[in-house]
Amino acid sequence: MKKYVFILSFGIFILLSYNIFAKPIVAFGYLTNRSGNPNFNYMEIIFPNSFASAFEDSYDCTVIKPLKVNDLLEKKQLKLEKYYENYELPQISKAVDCDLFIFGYFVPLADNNIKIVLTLYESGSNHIFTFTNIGKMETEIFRIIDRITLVLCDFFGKDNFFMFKTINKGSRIGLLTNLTPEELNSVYSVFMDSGYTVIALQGNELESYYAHDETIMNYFKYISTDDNSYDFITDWTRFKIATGTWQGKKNSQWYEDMRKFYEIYDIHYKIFKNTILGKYKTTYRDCDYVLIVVFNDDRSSCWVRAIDVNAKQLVFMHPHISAAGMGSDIQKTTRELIQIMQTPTSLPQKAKKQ
Amino acid sequence: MVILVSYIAFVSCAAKKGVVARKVYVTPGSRIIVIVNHSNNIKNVIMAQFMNKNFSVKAFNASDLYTIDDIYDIKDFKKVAYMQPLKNDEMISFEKAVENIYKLHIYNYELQKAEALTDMRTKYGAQFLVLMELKDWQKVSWARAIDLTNMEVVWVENYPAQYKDTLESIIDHFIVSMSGQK
Repeated sequence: MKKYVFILSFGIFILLSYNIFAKPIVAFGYLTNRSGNPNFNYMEIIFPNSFASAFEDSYDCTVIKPLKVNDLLEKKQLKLEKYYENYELPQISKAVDCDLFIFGYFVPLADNNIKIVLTLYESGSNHIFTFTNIGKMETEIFRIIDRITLVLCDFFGKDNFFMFKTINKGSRIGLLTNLTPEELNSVYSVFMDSGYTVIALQGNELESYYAHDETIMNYFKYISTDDNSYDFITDWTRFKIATGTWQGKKNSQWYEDMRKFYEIYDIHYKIFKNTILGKYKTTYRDCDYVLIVVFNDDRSSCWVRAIDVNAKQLVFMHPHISAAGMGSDIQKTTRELIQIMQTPTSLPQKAKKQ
Repeated sequence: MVILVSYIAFVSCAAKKGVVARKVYVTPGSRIIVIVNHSNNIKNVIMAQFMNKNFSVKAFNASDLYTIDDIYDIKDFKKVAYMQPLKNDEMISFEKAVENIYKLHIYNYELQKAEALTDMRTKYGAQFLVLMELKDWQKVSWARAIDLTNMEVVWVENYPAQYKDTLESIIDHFIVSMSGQK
């Protein structure tokens, strides 16, 4: 009897171990050619295959390339499309049974440049991350692949970390935080002592009225910009409004208002935000970056987003920065943030060995 | 237990430690606006300390009988305008649009404030804005100076008030720290 119990326990252990240590599965969709020139169509599979191979070389995962993804989908009476609406991604990643689904598009630009835009969806997260890379089509293509692989490794391997570029000392920064005035002074002093110019974005009043509203501050976790975005998926197709002649004038007006509301604050949100950021350049004319830094309750850690005001672009994103050692010190956390902002990331060790 | 007490003492001290950073000195003779949120008699003491050190203090926050608490609470206006319960769990698709309203509002709010600060420079002729909040001796008083020509924070200080400190001595401490002159 004991023998059977042992074998059964061992079997369960092996199964559990397999699940715990199973490599994450990363599926690649097509990289759609949006140039309108069919001569570039062959790249729709070559690019994702290259990214998949480079990612597999750098990160301990199992990749599935587009043709294989299509095979998997066909078994479920689906097929791999060249474009997906965000709300379709949970269903597709579930059908492929992957941990990360990546797809995108490319556009050849003038002077032999190419713009590549990738969208990442992490299964079960309801979050999407989109980023853009531009480089020379022939001479720099391997560099582009490396850069994109690095972003993928950072995002997937470091829990949604993203660095488009370093934010070095000498930069002029404005901060939006959830801090009290004296805490804000403490953070300002660290930035000033580290060689940054601090623009009085939030610190130009006695106390910010929204800084202590956790709900509002958490909205800033999601940043949409033209080139790079971190957002959550909403599905407007689930929202139904029945209309008809029976609804009357009052309801018609309400529907019209709803449509405008959606148009301004969702569809055209980026246009409105870009207009405001454009004004930042004239009003806070010395501000290079807006840093949104939200600390936890005991100020021992923070999450960060950084927007390049000139390019109107999300350039830095970190989910959790905390300083090593004992003591919850806001200045230690800030120094750690500065250290991370200034340090370029590199591909994981696995790639370097090759 | 000893470790716990030491840790709490360490954290407590860390929270109350003094902080100072300075990019340029705001020297006597500079045209400044001082904003504080205290009663008028304390406000007068603060202004007097600056005036006695030859600062040109503009009557921005001191041109009437009222204090910020009495008349100027931007929070209330913003709550009326923006803090309605727009969020509705049954309409999850609206979440993003609602969040975007708040975000646009805050980006805009910071912009509007800066425009008000620009008026301080152009209409009042001020060079620097000095923000200050004074606390009792066991707490941390803080102050900050902003160069209104480029909106740069040029001086910050958190000062844990000492037992022997008075209102005047704290303000004098800030003035010395800010101007670099005794």
